[in-house]
Amino acid sequence: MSLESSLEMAANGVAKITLSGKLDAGTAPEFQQLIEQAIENKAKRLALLLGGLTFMASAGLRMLVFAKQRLGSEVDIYVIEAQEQVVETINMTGLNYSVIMLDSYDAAAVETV
Amino acid sequence: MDRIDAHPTHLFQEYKLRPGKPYPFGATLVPGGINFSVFSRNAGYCSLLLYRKGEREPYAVIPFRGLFMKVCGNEPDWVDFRIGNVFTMTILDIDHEEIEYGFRMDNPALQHSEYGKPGFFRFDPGKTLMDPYAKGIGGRDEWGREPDWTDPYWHRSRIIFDDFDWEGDRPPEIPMEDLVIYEAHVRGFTRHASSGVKDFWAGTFTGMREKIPYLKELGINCIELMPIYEFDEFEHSKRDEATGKYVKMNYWGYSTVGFFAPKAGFAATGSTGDSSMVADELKTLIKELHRNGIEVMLDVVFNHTAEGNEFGPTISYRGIDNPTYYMLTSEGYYYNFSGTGNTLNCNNPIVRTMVLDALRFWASEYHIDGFRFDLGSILSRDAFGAPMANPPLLETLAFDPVLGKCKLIAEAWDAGGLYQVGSFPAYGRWAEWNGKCRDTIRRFLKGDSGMAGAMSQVIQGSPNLYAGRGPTASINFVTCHDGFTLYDMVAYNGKHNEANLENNQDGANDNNSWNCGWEGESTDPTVNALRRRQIRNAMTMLMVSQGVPMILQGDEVGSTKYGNNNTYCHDNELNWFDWSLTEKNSELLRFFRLIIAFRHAHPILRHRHHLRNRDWKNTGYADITWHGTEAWHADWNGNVLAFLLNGQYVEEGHDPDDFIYVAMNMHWDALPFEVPMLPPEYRWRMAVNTGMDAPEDIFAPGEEPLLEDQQQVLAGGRSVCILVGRKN
Amino acid sequence: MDLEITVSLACEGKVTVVQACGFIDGKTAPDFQNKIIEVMQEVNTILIDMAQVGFMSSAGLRAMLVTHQQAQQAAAKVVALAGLSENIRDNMEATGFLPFFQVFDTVDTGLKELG
Repeated sequence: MSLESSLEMAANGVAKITLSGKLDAGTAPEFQQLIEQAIENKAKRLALLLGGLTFMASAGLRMLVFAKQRLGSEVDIYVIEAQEQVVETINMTGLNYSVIMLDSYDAAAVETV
Repeated sequence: MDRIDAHPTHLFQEYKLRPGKPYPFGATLVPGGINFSVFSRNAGYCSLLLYRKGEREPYAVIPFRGLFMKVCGNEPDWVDFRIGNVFTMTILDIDHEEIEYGFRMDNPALQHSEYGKPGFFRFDPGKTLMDPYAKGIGGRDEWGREPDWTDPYWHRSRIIFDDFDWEGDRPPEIPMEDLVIYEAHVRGFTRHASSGVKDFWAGTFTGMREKIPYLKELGINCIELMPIYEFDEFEHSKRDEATGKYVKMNYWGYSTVGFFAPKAGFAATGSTGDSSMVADELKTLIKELHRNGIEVMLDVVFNHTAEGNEFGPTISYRGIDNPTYYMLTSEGYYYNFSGTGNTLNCNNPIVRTMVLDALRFWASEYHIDGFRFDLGSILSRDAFGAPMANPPLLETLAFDPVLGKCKLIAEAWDAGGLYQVGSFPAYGRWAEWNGKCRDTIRRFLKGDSGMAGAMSQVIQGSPNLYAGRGPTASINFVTCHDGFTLYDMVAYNGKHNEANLENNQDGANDNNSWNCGWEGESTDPTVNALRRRQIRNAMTMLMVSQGVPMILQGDEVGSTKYGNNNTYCHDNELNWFDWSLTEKNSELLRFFRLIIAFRHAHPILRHRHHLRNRDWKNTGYADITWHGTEAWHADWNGNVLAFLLNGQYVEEGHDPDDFIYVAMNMHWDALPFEVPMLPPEYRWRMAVNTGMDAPEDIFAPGEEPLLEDQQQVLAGGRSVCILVGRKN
Repeated sequence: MDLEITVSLACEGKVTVVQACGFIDGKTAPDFQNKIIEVMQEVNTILIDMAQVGFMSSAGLRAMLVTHQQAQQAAAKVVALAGLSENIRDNMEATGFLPFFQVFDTVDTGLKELG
């Protein structure tokens, strides 16, 4: 199984990336491409919709780190509706301090920059 | 000089970090900070958790793999503080005294097993795991203090100072053949009010230290301590709802929580919460024992851990790397060769290393002189439980340089059906608890017929079992913590373990005991006199046998457990040494002291090589000869046996010894024994006669009276006589 | 918890009394150790007044022992203790640190002996 991914640039510079399937070494480059697109589009916030993502390997984590580095410290990264395995992986690496985790999509919080 | 590695390379929140060193495992004080190192083959992620002592929740959770800030350049960096399968990092500028630490391990790619169900991996990111290499462990700082059962992290790793002024202490290195071992329980030794030690010391390492003069006077030169590493006294405990008191506790402690930490609850300083003091206190006890010529042996339990099976608590090992630490079936159930729920996977290369590290640690840091391995046969099984002919672990231990002068003793059986007395893989180093010696002496003692042959083997140090290894492979004993006390062995025919609340189903049934005519306490003077005599008989037979004798704490004063032969769970008078008995049974205590002194005085009893039953030095007498009521003729079918040791046959390094003649009359009636003739100028003296009342039952070396009739000695019914043949 | 150290002379200058108030633990032990050693450079006999010390950890025990070892190396020097609480005394006894020191119940008895 591979990865299904899409990018939607919403109002206020909010970049919404939806990921479904598995994020591993093989599929990480697709995610990376979307991040770079978001940067080109001058994203002011990154919202990752991970409801359909079943698995994240360390390669996927590196992408989060890559995103954090490229976007800069003023840009918040939201991780939304992540499944249990993904949440655990993020927590075990301390990345939960670098991103904002939400159980469900809170439009008010996410879209107000 | 300022070391390069005393400076951080990364920051995580406010914590200053740098890549750590994998060795040594565990937490180590390094210049500027603390190095943490933990191994796991199967975990993908690991975090270090820091707690303030006693607090429920950690104040810091620091991943070993994650997004940190570089100190140089102030930019984020993906960090992997790991070398191979070892997670390791150094934290700088952190005070170790106030913290407790633990690990969180996970591998999200692996299926998490459910509690109560079989499974291979038991990672659980919700659990804090104790460091398997923790040198100090908190959570049970005071014995019996009710813990907070809701605390999510029960047994907490701590960091200790490992410096200690040994003041030139060196292991005594007493030759194996010269040992007289005393099996003791630290708490039981001084917990009873009658011990007279200060309240603060009662039942502790320091309490035991106060009683060293007693041990010295008794004459033992080696103390074997029942488990003293951290265990949980509340494991399988049971409370009486009416009184609120605990009627069952894990008192003996055969259930390891941590292999590298002394039990805080056995230290008077445990209540300070300062684990360095606990370590110092134990080291001080050992230093003092060594100063008094007493070696220290530890009873070590590497066959299982306190985590039990799939229904047991997660303390450390199963949450760190379950399939590495435990023997698992192909369905993921725990193999149970220990009878306690799980079996440590000792011959797995990683676990093997941990066992070796632990033993080296005790030998070098605590100056321990030897180890007795509980359920030792488990150490010869492979990962699937199959016995191995050449178990790597046992071989490694036998040849290890640091352990080179340590005594290694195995309880050569396990709870899974292996019985290896006489066949334990020895590599020329391992000794065994000789269960056959125990059974033989007990049966001979109670007058079973046909035991003379077996007795002659025991007396020679069991060459039938240990040919080629010498008598020192045989740890001879009549009693140990498992089973009756010596007094109960002559006062009870059957076990009475009702207090264990298991319907008297627990404990051994083959006790080979005889109650001398009455079950339990008796006011009949004949019964009591016989019991006193039988106790002396057993000790005499033990002390005149080749091999290494071991006695049980309390037997020297006639301690009783009222027929309970399995008091593993009693934290009360049943197990606590009653010091008033040293007065009440002072005659028995005197006998023990003098029979031990007898053994120390006669090197002929302490051969390193088996006797040959031949006069190979051409002295006129063989090294050992066998007799019955008639000199030079033993009756191998009866319950009477005598033997003569030729004092010319001492081992190198000793002056020639006396002749020693021992007559063992286990017949109910008195019998005259024709005494072998001595060379000219030698005469027989009476050293021991258990048929006599004190003080004629035994005489101090040098004070033995001349035998009136040099040709014959009358041994009373069920008595043992020892004669020494000396020039004038 | 902090530690305050006061130095004073007694017995016509023959004995220096160092009074410690507070906790001697990982944080304060280094200062304590340094102060005693500093004082030791000038004088031969030091009596440490421990009556106001509420708690001493294993770090504190070690700092004490180091000062004792320094005194030993300098031959003529003496470091003695006075006013140990029962608790601290018990802990020192249990951990084997006590026999290294001359111990007095009070500063006065100590001064009588040492002065």
